[in-house]
Amino acid sequence: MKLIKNYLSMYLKILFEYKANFIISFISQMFSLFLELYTVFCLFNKFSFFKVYNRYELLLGFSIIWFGMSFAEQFGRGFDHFDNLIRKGNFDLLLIRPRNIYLQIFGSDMSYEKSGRVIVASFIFIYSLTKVITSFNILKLLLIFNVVIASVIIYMSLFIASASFCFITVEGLEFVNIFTNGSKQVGQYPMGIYNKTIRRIFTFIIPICLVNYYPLKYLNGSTNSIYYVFMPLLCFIMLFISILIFNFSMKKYCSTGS
Amino acid sequence: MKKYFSYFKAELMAGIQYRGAAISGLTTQFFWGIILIFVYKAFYDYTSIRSINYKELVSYVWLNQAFFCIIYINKTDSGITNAILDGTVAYELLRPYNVFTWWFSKLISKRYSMVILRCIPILIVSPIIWSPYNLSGPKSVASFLLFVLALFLGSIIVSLINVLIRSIAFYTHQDKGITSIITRVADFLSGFFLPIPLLPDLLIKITKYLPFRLIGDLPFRIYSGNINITTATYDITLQVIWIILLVIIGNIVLLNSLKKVSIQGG
Repeated sequence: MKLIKNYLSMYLKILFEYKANFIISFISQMFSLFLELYTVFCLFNKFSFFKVYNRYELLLGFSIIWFGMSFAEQFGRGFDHFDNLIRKGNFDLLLIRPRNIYLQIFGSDMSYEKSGRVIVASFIFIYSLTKVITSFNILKLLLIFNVVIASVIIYMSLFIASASFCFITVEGLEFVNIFTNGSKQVGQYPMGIYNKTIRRIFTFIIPICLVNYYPLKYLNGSTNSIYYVFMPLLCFIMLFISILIFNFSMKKYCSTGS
Repeated sequence: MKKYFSYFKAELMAGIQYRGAAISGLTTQFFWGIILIFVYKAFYDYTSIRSINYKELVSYVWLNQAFFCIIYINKTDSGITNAILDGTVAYELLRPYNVFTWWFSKLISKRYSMVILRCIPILIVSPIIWSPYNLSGPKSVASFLLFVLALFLGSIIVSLINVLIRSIAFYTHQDKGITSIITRVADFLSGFFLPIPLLPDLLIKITKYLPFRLIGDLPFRIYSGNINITTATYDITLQVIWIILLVIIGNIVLLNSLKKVSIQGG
């Protein structure tokens, strides 16, 4: 715990050293989020989709995906850019230290730049929540909490799983971006617009339906089963699998450093 | 002419050396195309719109993915900002040739050397996928020829825009920040994120007066027959006019910024 605090404050210090740089990328990050949101709205307007879909539910799904992705990108950059660590041989350094390896990878790189997205996404999330929820109770609060946790966990596990490819390929593969950015591209629209096959893929393989589709049903009152409240937590299975993959490929690792 | 061509050859060789990157990028492009096609399908399942039908849109997506390296404005070269910041740009300015032409030919040959490796596999695989999801053939022989011509002219336009952005980098000393936001908007207006027929009507009107739609959007829509031959010839003339305009503007901006240039570093 103390180590995490240390890491966070160190990177905060770096940030204050490069203020202008930070502000510029902060703004351009927010800008890119709004551009994507605008794209979604354009499509919905063009096809007059707002007749069948509530725009606040759209915002809710959009913001939770972007929140999870940006939050994981911000704090899991070590995994996101894991090839840097391997290629320079710095990973060996982490291995010989007597601390948890995951914690160290988290600490190896961090960027507060994505916080622009995180902040905007959380604002949109809260705003649309107030519009979607008509009656409020403790179970809904619990569900919201679960959804927020799950969205981060899903993207974190995707980063961990894709990082384990680097042990074999050494070079980072642009290809693995398809899982993270691709699922974002699909998930920023309400999952209800897709057909059953696609929804199944995104429930069982990349479980973004757990945060974007099923919780909405409970929140807007179309279902009442208590099962839906705890459904987002199923993503921990995914985290478990990714960690297994990562540990397995770490055993195969042979150093590249000099 | 010879020196520009030899630069292109060197870039192509480098591209072949790093074919791993090309293969990885190409797979990404391919899957990205599939994802976009699924997303659009969800919309077309609900209703269809007048401005572009699903088959034309699918072809649009595939061509967009195949020629990604030619048409994406934001594929910036980070080299130049570094060169400005550490002062090596002085060497570029000392060499006995026109800086404008040199930069232009460098940028365009970079784009072509990247696209050659990446477009062929997509152009081979995408037509053999089962029907509504495949790249369908061109509308007619004439539209195919016009497509090739428009794409070539489009690649000139995008490289000229890149030269312009480079010249502006002399003022701002960076390619992040404001320039990156401008290129994003330009990419949006070029139909890279969302095909222009899917934009709101107001934006479609605005794009008519800008050069960005002439880069990728025009050739792809000519190919699928979304733009008919007469309009296409008119638009291709417009491309030529824009090329002349951009050459003039680019030269003026470059001359002005070269007067003000201060070499950083020793």
